[in-house]
Amino acid sequence: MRHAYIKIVGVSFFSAFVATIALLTSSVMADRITSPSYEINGNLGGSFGGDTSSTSYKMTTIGGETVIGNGQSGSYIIDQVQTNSSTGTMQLSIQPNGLVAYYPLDENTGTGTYDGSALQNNGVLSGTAAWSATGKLGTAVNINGSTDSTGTGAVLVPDSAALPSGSAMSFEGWVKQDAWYPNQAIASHWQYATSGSWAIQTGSDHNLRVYIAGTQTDTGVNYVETTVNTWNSFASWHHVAVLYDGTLSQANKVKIYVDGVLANSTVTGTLSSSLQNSSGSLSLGSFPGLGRALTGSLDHIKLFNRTLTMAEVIAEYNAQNTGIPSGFTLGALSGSSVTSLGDAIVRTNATNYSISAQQDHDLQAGSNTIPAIGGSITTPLTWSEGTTKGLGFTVTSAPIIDSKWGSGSKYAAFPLTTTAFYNGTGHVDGTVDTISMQTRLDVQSAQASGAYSNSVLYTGTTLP
Amino acid sequence: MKYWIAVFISVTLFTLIGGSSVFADTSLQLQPLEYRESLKKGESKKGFIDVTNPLSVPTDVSFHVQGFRQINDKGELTFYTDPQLSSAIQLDYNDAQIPAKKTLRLYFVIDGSKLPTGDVFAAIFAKNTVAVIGDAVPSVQIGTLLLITNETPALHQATITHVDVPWLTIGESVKGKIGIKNIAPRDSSNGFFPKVVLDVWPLGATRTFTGPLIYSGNTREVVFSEFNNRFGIYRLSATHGDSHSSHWIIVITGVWRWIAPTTLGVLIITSLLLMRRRHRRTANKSR
Repeated sequence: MRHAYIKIVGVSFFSAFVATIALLTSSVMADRITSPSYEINGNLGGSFGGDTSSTSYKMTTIGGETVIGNGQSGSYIIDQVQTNSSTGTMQLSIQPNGLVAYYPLDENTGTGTYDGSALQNNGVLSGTAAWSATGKLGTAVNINGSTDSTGTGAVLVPDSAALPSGSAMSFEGWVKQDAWYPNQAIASHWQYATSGSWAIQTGSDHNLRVYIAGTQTDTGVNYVETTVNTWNSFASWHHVAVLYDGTLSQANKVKIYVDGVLANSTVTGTLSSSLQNSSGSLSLGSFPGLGRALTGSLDHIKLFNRTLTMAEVIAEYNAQNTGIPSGFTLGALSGSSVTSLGDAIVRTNATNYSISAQQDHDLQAGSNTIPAIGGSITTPLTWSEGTTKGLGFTVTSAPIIDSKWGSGSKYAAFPLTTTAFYNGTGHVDGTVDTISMQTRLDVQSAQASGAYSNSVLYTGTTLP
Repeated sequence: MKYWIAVFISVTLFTLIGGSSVFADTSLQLQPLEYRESLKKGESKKGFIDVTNPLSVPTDVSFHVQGFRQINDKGELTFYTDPQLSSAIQLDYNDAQIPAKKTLRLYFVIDGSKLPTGDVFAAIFAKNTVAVIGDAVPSVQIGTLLLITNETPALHQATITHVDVPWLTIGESVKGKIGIKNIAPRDSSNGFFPKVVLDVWPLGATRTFTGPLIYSGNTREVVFSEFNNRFGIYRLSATHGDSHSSHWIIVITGVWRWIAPTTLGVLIITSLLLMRRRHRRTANKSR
């Protein structure tokens, strides 16, 4: 199979048109044809059809930048189309709940890096930070701290009210340190001695250290440190997750996971029960005010405004370790119901839209089935712990939340046909709607064990 | 003892349920969200949808055509498989892998000779396929709605069911809702975007609105906010075709919110002063 790949760079359309026609007619057997304005790549992989000869493609002036084929296979791939207010556009994403910053670090060009969370708080590569072609998932950013005499190499993200403060936070990301260096920052939201909150860095002896500021002017006397040799495998990628729950005891406030495994740690000083609200930048790869730039690379950084569970950390690690950007789990049942939180994130310029859900079948493991709960989207039912059995979901927050969900206490079964569960009416272009859902599962005591599975399809359409 | 054995077995079994499901970040972007097209007899038309992979990794996407109906007065839709529509709306591809941060411009051809005549409601869906097994593994799909008139449109008839407008409005404008019902037999393939004319009398002013899609048997509402800077008693009329509804309303909108009470205040004060003067004159005469 051949592919057609067109990249519009943005020059005079007429000259580009003439140049491309000339190219097409003179290089008909090439898989890849380029000009200053266009690139046609007939060999991008195995998914797209198209004719092997570029003589079957022709340029037309539809929309000023359109290539169509000979009527048989006119489709093609271009760079990501931006929102077009005249025709209506929608982006629907399902992400774990509480994601307030997400930097895949996959641009591989320029100095900007986008925030994949709903908040769109984009970052900038600063100082020695540069793109690296080989990340854990896609590309990564190399901080190159060994050549950074000023310690400014980092991905800097402007402060935002949405960044975690208060009693809950989770950080996770992939780190590759080129060799062992003590006191090198992985991430921090801390302007040293003036506006501290938290910082994650290597420790003094092959370990990791997490600072939690007790006050804004904290100079770093309260921290959690993993035991020696938890960080002793270099030049390869490691998944680091830091979970903070200020409501727990000193020994349990901060948990550090390396490659999905909880590391033993000790506490020095007193950990605050609430994160300071730093006004400094979120810095990936440095500790503002101290430098401490990382000699190594970072990839797929995420911040949550809640404390992930161990099961979620492991799911994230397992998923990302196999090339999937996110993992999520309902967790194992142990006598009570289990829940998971997910967000449907809608970016659209449609005034009215609808989000529907449909499961392909009830949870199944071989011939065994876990039935859906009794409630429906029309009439959700209150979940009664110990009595309600099956799989259900509820809407916990949304721009317009229907009272039928009982503030997240009433649950509906995932329907077997596409059924609207949220209507966004009067939506304002430019805003991002987040519809938070909680999935919940419990089973009868006689339920046979097994790995039960099903899938849920979320559908977005305009509401004409 | 038996109880604790039962508990132990239960806990052992339950820990094996669920546990390991993972899902990808599932995300798709689609445009346009709607096409409204008319086809002459036997005509074919070509269009496209832009399906974007916003993720930083490639994603597998499948495409399919379904019919849709509007199922209630909220305008919610239901989708169904229709071989005739799938045959008449041919997509260039049924599945594809879209690289990270790229857009597939997918062309399609609508063959009017294969479509039923009249109003046709179809949707082209782009759906990401997630190769993960687990509990409630999510995937997403987004649809482009095709609202097609093939040859002669169905007979479009609607009636105004209600006009919700307060009898007294003091504010920026007159706000209200007009209900319109498509009187075609429910579930027949008949739907349209009704035009509603709203006018006030006297000192006439007319506004024309295009309402939302009303499918056979359904009632939808047109929300309006009109008629600034008015003061007085008016007759508000809403008209769609032969259907008509009128209401008398008292309106104080726009600048009249300030002029009217000021004028009224001045009148009251003036009246009081005049009464007081007359009272004094009467008192003086009686002396």
